[in-house]
This record gives sequence, C-alpha cells and structure tokens, in this order.
Amino acid sequence: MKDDKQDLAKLLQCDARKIRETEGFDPRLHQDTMRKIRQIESGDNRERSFSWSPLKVSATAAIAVIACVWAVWPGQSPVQPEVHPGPKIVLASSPTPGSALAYRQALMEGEEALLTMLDRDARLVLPRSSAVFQSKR
Amino acid sequence: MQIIEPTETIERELISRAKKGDVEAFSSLMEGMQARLLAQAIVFCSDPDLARDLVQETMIAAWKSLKRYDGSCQLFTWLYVILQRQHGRARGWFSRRLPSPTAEQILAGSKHEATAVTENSEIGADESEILRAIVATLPPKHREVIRLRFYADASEAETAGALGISIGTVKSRLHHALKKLQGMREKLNLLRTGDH
Repeated sequence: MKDDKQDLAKLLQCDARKIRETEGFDPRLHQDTMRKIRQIESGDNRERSFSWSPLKVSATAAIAVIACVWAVWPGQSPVQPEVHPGPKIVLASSPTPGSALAYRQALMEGEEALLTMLDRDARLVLPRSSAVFQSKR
Repeated sequence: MQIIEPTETIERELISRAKKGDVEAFSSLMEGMQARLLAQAIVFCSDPDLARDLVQETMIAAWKSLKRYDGSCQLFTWLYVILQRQHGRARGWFSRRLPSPTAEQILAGSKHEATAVTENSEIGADESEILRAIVATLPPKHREVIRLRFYADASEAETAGALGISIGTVKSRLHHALKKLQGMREKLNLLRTGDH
C-alpha cells in the first residue's frame, strides 16, 4: 500500500513536470491585466476622496430613523420648556419727545401733527398762564 | 544559517512595494509568475481562453488582497490558492454540485495502458489526462492539498500556511487524498484489464 502511494506520488510529480514544460509567458495577457489593475486603482483613489460606503450610508439612515421615531413617539418627545413671562422690555421705537428727530418725524406726518406736538411740548415747558395759550379770537 | 537568495530579496522588496500600492512592483512580480499560473490554469480549464480569463481574475484578486499575504508561503503558492478558488467560483454553484464522473466515465475518454512509473519515467498524454480527471473528482479540501503539494510544489508547511490550517491537518488530508486517488486508480486498472 505504501509503495502504491509512492508510485502515485511519483506519477503526480511527473505530471507536474509535464505541466511546467508547457509554461509560456503571454505578454498581451500581462498588459491587459495590468491595465485593468491600473483602472481599478485609479477608480479606488477617486472613491477614497468621496466615499459613500454602504456602511456609512446605512449607519446615517439608521440614526435618522431612530431620531424621527424618538421625536414622533408619544410621550417620548422632548419636553417643551415652560415659558414664564419675563419683564416687559419696551423698545424705544419712538423718538424722545422734544427732540429734533421727534419734530422731523411729526413734520413728515404733516403740518398739523407738527403743530400739535409743538403745542403739547409747550404746555410742558411754559406756565398755563402764558400768552401763547390765550385765545386770540 | 539561512542563506537568502538575491532573487528572494528582490521579490520581498517588490512585495513590500506592491503592498504599499506600487502597481509597477506588482507588475514585475506577476511577470515572473504568469507563465506558471497560466500553465496550471490550462490544466484546470482545458481551454486556453478560459485559462487566460482565470489568470487575469486571479491576478486582480491577488492585487486586491495582497495586504493579506503574510509570507507564510511562497508567493506562487498563495497565488495558486487564489487560482483554485477563482476556478471554483467560475464553475458556478450548479456545476460544483454535479456528481463527479465515475471511473467508467473517466476511462471512456482514454484507451491508454496503465504504465509502471519509475523514477525517471515520463507520463503519457492519456495517463496525464486520467490522473488530472481523478484529482478533479476529489473533495475540494483533498484536491487543494494534492494540487498544492504536487502541482504547485509547496512543502507541507507552506501548504499549511497558504490554507490557514495546521501541518497535521495537511498530512492527514494528503493521506486521505492519496488513498482515494489510489482507490480510483485501482478501479480504473481493473476496468482496463477487463477491457483487454
């Protein structure tokens, strides 16, 4: 049995030698293969600069879905903060009474508005007995 | 002391460069391997055009996975494993599951007399054909070790490294594979003597 195995091993070695005798380099095959490899390599380099790998895409999609479910799920949505009315902030949108800006604004509204404003301001500055408040009619 | 051949040093240098993405280094490596791979591929495919495609696919697969080559076997041995696996894939799911040809079917293509093999004897064309056919009928794990040991000329340690198995497993698979081959040959010889 051992001899048979050795015999078989020799036969296999002979066949292997026979195959080696047929070896021949194929330059066209080599060129074609290397061209394909270069194409793959240049493609890989392009992909590396902007890669949308399936793993990244699925991970991003999974995170987005979890976030959506969390937001929509009843009782799980983030608690809305209680809003307390704070001190009222009054913006100085209208010019200070008696200032040049106030008079200019009144003039733009019309002569009547300017006269009314002047009249009102005069009452603040001058005494009521002043002649300007006496009717000339 | 281990003597390192100059060609071995050059090959190592080329492998190192190719692993870093140097296509020219890989091209130089493949120039030295292609003829051997092609001859083996022709044995697998029995068709030169299919064999060329198989070698091309093997080289592309080798380029893509070169970083995984750890030097535990010769580069050719590693490439030979890829060649075998690419061939298995190319054959497809269905054909891989077809029943192996019987001894009668193998013999049908040949009317060659069984030859007694001595140290320096040559093997006839028909005998080669039959031998390759019976190797092809072996289960994949047995076929792999037979081809690596005899056709790729890999040592047991190299075969173990290339397949990622222990040397003991290689020895065991080799033993069973040779036993099966021997059984098949005996069957063929009986059929032959029955013919004559």
